[in-house]
Order: sequence, then C-alpha cells, then structure tokens
Amino acid sequence: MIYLCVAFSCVWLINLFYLFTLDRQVRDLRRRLEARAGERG
Amino acid sequence: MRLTLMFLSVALLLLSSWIGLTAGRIEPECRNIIYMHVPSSIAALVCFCVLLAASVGYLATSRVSWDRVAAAAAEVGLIFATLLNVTGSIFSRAEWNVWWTPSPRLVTAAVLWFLYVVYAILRISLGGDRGLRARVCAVFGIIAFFDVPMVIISARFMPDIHRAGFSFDSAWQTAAFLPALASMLLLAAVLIWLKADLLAARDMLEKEI
Amino acid sequence: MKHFLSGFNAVFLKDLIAELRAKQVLPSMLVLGLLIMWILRLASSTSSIDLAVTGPAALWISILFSGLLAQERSFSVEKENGCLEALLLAPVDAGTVYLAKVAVNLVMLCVFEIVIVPAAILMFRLEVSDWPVLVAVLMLGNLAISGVGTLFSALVCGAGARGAVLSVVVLAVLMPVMVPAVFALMVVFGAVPAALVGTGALAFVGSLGSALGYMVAFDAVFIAACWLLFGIAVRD
Repeated sequence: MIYLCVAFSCVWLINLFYLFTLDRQVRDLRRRLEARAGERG
Repeated sequence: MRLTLMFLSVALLLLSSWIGLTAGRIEPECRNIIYMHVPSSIAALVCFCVLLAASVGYLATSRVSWDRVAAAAAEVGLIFATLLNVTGSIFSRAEWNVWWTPSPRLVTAAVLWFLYVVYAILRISLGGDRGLRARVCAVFGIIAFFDVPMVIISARFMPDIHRAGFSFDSAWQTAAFLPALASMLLLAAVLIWLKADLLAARDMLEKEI
Repeated sequence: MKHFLSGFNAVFLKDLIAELRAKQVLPSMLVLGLLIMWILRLASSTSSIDLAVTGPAALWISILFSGLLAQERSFSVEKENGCLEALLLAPVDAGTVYLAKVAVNLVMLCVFEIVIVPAAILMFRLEVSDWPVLVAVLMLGNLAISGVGTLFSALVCGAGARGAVLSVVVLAVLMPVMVPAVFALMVVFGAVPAALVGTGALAFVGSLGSALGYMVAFDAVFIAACWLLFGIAVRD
C-alpha cells in the first residue's frame, strides 16, 4: 500500500516539478518582454 | 484552450484513480501502480514518435518550427521516461522486492530514458549555430528511433524475469485504465504544444534583439 | 559501380595513408585500450570464473573507447584542415564518403584488435574455443562501432563540440548491440558452459547463433540508416 502512495506522489511531484520549470521559463520570457517594452516606450 | 485541456487531463486522472481504487481495484494493492505505469510508458513512446516525425520534418523542410517541436517532444518525453522508470522501479520493488533488475522491460525503459538524456545533452552542448544544432539533433532523433525496436529485440536475450503480459480481468479495470491513458496522452500533447510555443516566443524575442 | 569504386578507393586510401604517415591515432588507441583493460583487470578478482566473465566485457569496453578516440581524432584533424568541405565538393557521392570512412575506421579497429585481443587473452587467462567465431564477432562489433561512430563524429566534430559528447552519443546508440556482443565473446572464451546457455543462470537467454544473427541485423539496419543520413547530415 505504501508503495502505491509513494508511486502516486512521485508521479505528481515529477509533473509539478516540470510545470514549475515551465512556469519559470514563462516568467523569464515575460520579464524580458516587459523590459524591452519598457526601454522602447 | 491549453488550460482547459490540462484540467481535463487532471480530471481524467482523478476519474481513473477513483475507479481504480474502488471497482477496478487490482488485488495486491501495490499492483494499482500499473494504472500510472503503463500509460506513462505509452506516452513516452508516443513522444518518441513525435520526436521522430519532427526530426524527419526538419531534415525535409529545414523549417525551424519542426526543430522546436522536436526539442519540446524530447523534453516532455524525458519527463515521461523518468516517470516510467520511477514507477517501474517502485512497482518492481513492491512486486519482486528488487529496485531494479536487468529484465527486458526495465532495460528498454532505461535505454529510452538514456536516449532522451543524450538528446538533451546534444541540445545543450551544441550551443552556437542553431541550424547545425537542429540538424545534428534531428539525425540523432532518427537514429535513436531505430534503436528502440533493436533494444526491444535484444532484450529478448535477457532472462525473462516473471514478466508475462497482463490483461485486464474485468471491464472495470479497463474503465480505470483508459482514462489514465487518455490523461497521460493529453498531458503529453499539451506540454509539447506549450513548450513549442515557449520556444517560438523565445526565438521571436531573441531575433528582434 | 565503377564510379563508386573509384570514389571509394580515393577517399579510403587518402585517409589510410594520412593515418599511416601521421602515426597519431594508432599509438594512442593502443595505449588507451591497454590501460583500460589493465585497470579492469586490476579491479577484478583473480578467480578464474570472474576473469572469464569480466574479460569479454573489458575487451569490448576497451575496443569501444579506443574506437571512439580514433574516430574523434581523425575527424577533428579533418575539420582543422577544412577537409570535409573539400571532400563534399568533390564529385564523390556523400554516401561513398561515408562508406570509405567506415572502412578506414574498420581497418584501424582491426589493427588495434590484433594487438589488444592477445593482450586480453593473456591478461584475463582466456581460452579461445573457436577462432573463426571470435573473428566474426569482433568484426560485427567493429562494423557497428565504425558505422555509428563515423556518422556521429562527422556531425559532432563538425559542430565543434567537445570530445565527451561523441562518446555519450555513440554509447547510447550502441547499447543494444553490446549485450549480444559480450555474450557471444563469453561463449567463444568458454565462460558460458554449453549446458548453461538458455537458462536464466547468467544474464543471457539465447544461443550464439541468435546473438550473431542479432548483431548482423543491427549492423545492417544501422549502417543503412547512417549511410542514408550521412549526406543530409553533413550538407551545409
């Protein structure tokens, strides 16, 4: 039983970790976009 | 659109878990890991097919959008291959009390993971010329795709540790399995789409600078 | 066909003669191969069963890494002199260039093995039961290493990446063929008593024939694939 819980947790953790990575990339892009918009306008 | 699809994927996974833990429960409880393990293996293989298609597409047309899809598919495939190996390892520990053993399926899973990792290494280390990097990675994607059936065949040479194919006993179990499969495939598609768009946005940003 | 042969010969002889004159690759291959085998020998215990099982693996490891070293050296030298571009401009089919380079690497590996295999037999106290099979297994393995390695060293060295990337890439692709290769060598060196073949006692289930058949299939598929992809891979 515990293995099932561990496996389930691992699946969620890995997916969340990847989504977190993607989120950081989005934030980085947004920051750069806004910086460029800032220096243009 | 992507957000809805992601929520749909989570909902499908919850549905599958619900059915899987009630009506479709497999008896020694830990075997229910199968509901997450097999879909992620199918998703990892599907990502590899997408990688192959994108690699061929890039080599045929030289359009960067294919290269971006290939990079996205490789990254998402790496995630699913990691999931595959982790759940497989936990499953083998639960069933046979070993974390890993050179059995055909496990070796195939490990090789798949390694191929994805090597693709990532190629992507990272060939920094400079975008076109060259895309070409090298595309060629590797195609060659690596030939590797997978080869591994499956060569794995037949290894001792067959009690790994018979299984089938689902009752309709409820299939009902628990299919949403999980749909969920993983949907998640893979959404993630590849998202990542490819991210890469496109980054390319657009860097081009204008 | 005649055109193919003349192109093939031209590239093959050019590389071979360049290599023989420079005398750069072969000595380093030998030193690396012997060192690897020596370290593995020291790291394994002296019981004869252990040696008979470690020996084939050590032999293949040293062949793999020395082969990769050779290919990397030869391609980086070519890149320095801008040779690859010149070769592609010449009226020789890219596929022919690929096959010629594979042939050169094969020759290098064979010469290397002429020294390394007796060294392995001495170091690991192996007994050869079947010389023709040994040669066949080694040649099939060499073909795999050369075939895949040539394509990727052209790609990776052309892209100017560091050396370790080539080893990583080629090893990943060659993973499936190494299992039957080591097994076949274990059978040849008598580490697998005939009674045990086919049981799960060792990490192998199958016969020597099937292992050889698998290696032939692997070589055929991959050399064909690499041959087709080489032209696309190195075009500008």
